[in-house]
Amino acid sequence: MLKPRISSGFLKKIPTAFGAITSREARNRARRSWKASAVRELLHIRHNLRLLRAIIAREFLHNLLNLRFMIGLVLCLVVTVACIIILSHDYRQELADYSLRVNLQEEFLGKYALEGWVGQLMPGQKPPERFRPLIIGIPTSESQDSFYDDPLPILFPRLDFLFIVTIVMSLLALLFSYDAVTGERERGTLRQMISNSVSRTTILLGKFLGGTASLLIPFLLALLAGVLCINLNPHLQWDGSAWAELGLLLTASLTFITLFYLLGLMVSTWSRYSAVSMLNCLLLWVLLVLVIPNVCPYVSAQLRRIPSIQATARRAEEVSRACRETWNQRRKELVEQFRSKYGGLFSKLEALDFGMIVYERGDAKKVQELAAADPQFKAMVDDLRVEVNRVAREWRQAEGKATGELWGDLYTKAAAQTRLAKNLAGISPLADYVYVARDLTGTGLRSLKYFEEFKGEYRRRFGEYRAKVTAAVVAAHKNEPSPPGGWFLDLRDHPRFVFQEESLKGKLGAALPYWGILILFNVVFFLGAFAGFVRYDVR
Amino acid sequence: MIEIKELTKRYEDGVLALDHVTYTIPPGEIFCLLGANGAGKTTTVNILLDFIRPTEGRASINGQDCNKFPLEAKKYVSYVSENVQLYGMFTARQNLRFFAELGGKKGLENKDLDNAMRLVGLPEKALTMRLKNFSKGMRQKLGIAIALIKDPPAILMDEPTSGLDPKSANEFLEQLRKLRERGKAILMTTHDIFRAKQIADRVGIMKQGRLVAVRERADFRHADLEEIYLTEMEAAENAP
Repeated sequence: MLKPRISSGFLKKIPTAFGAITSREARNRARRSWKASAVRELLHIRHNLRLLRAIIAREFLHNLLNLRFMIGLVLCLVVTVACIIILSHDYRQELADYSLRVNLQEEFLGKYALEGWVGQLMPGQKPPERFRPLIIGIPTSESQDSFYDDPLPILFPRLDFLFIVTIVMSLLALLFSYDAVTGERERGTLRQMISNSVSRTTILLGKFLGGTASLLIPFLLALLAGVLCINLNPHLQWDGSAWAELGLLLTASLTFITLFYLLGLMVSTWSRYSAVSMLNCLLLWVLLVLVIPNVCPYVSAQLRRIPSIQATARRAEEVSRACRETWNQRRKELVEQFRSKYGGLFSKLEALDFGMIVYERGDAKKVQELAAADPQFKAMVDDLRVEVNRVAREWRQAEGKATGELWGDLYTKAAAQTRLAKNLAGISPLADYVYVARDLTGTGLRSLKYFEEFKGEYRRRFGEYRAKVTAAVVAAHKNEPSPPGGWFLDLRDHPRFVFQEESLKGKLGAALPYWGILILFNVVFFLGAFAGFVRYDVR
Repeated sequence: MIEIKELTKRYEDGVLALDHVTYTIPPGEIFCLLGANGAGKTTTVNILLDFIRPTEGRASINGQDCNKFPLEAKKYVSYVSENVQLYGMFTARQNLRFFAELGGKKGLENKDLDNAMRLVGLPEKALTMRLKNFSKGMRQKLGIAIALIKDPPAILMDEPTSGLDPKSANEFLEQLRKLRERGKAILMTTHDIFRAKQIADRVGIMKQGRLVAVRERADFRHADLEEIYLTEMEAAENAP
């Protein structure tokens, strides 16, 4: 039924023209014939391109004149602009919250930077993502806190660019394409079209290109309006890399939208009636967009079972209790050992009733006086301090190791479960697109991990700086007893935490595998549409 | 020229739609296929347009095999269906331009399109009217205009006068005569014996997939074609 662009006769002539002929005359004749064939084939390709252009233009115009185009345009414009206005407002609020948190932290660091407390005052606040006016990021503990200020966004999640692409545009794409072939058959225009010398491949390609072009107009106009709104926001300054990310996000979105257009086209080529095609499209949409991404975490949880956080916390508490009992036992043994070793001298220490383990508490001053007066007493106290510290260290190490293994095991299993769920959900184009979009814009799980690593690196630098300052302060107060909480550290020159986004290369590297799957879906659906259309009964 | 040789079509459910049908339509001839519903008239047209493949036999247009080289064969044919269905949201001009481009015509200007439409008798106001506002007669005329502008040597018409009022049908036949004068080989399937008698150079009578008779114009010019038709059908029924 289909005539290949390059005919088999043309291909057969190639070796004849160049290889197998020895006679010059025959060779020249074959070459002339081959040249004539090549010219014919080129004319044929040109003719097909002309037909393709005509079909693209018709499909484009036909969709433009259709009511669904107007509905799509209005819907896209209203939803996109409304989303961006609301999210931009949220972004400004989050930016203000962020600045407030950073300033408070600096203030605290200036006032209360005691040796023992600095760890809790360490800077490292996550700034709102620069794509926050377009895409809502993954909730963090700070945004959870804001639930009490304004619970409505949690109860009724706000719409964002991802929602527009994954739900609105995917449905619109199906609405544009579900009757691309069945509708033409029902109206009788397909018969009229195919009665001409035009291949089915050309018709299908023309329908795809023309239909997609008309579908993308509402989307691109809406996005343009949205980006204009964003740029009117003086708080947001996008640099070159942000624009590049936006470009990539747009390209990924186009891949996702064309995928659904091709899905509708494929279903249409395998259906006789538009109503049936519509139902099949809806069924597939629900499966690919709603069911698979939601079922995959459940399937993953069944395949890789992990204990709950509560169970792990309970188990960790049990382990800690067991370690504490061992510690108490060891402490009693130590007391007995010192009683028998030092006799009356140790009774003098016990009589002070300050609790023999924590020297800094109780009657520490009295002990210091006795130790200063009696070298034997001092030797015993030093001996005891060493022993108690050793036993306490062993206890803490054992407890830390046991509970650390428990929590570590939980985190490893949870990470494996998440990985499995993520990979399973990859069979849904929605999941693939969300991974790509979030990875590209730094609003996904990967960006959280990147932020933690960035913060870890900053904390290491901050730790080095703090150690340097602490050493200087301790050296300055060499002969003075340390005050409760330790010495005050002057950290005015501490390294500032300035979060830098991951490089575009890194983001793209993470997004490419899932982007590849989206492209593969496009290819598969086009081939499916092609297979359906080649055998389609146009009557 | 349209050539049909031993054309046979048996559907997957075993129904024999065409049974070794053979005839040739030379340039400048209108050949009307008469027959009841299911006689195989539309099946013939469908095979000629490669909508379906024959089980046996060969159909060709201008020497090109319709099923081996369908794209080549379709360069030489236009098709006018029972209900010319075009794009309702487009104007007549837009529809004509699109199908003319599909027919391989390039560089057409509006005046060329308008002339083609005037030639088939479409009123001036129809040229820029949306097709959804066209009557059936006007749509059929536009179908002829598409055939005219493509200007192929062969034209296939599947029940083109069905549902047309007498005035529109007469205008339609007038257009067919013009096409014949321009040397087109025209295959027209119809139930309408009256119109067939008016226009046909030859008629073929089909029954249950078989071409039971072919009559020249001289045979029915002064005779009752309906009677000939019924006699042939009866004879075919009684044949062993």
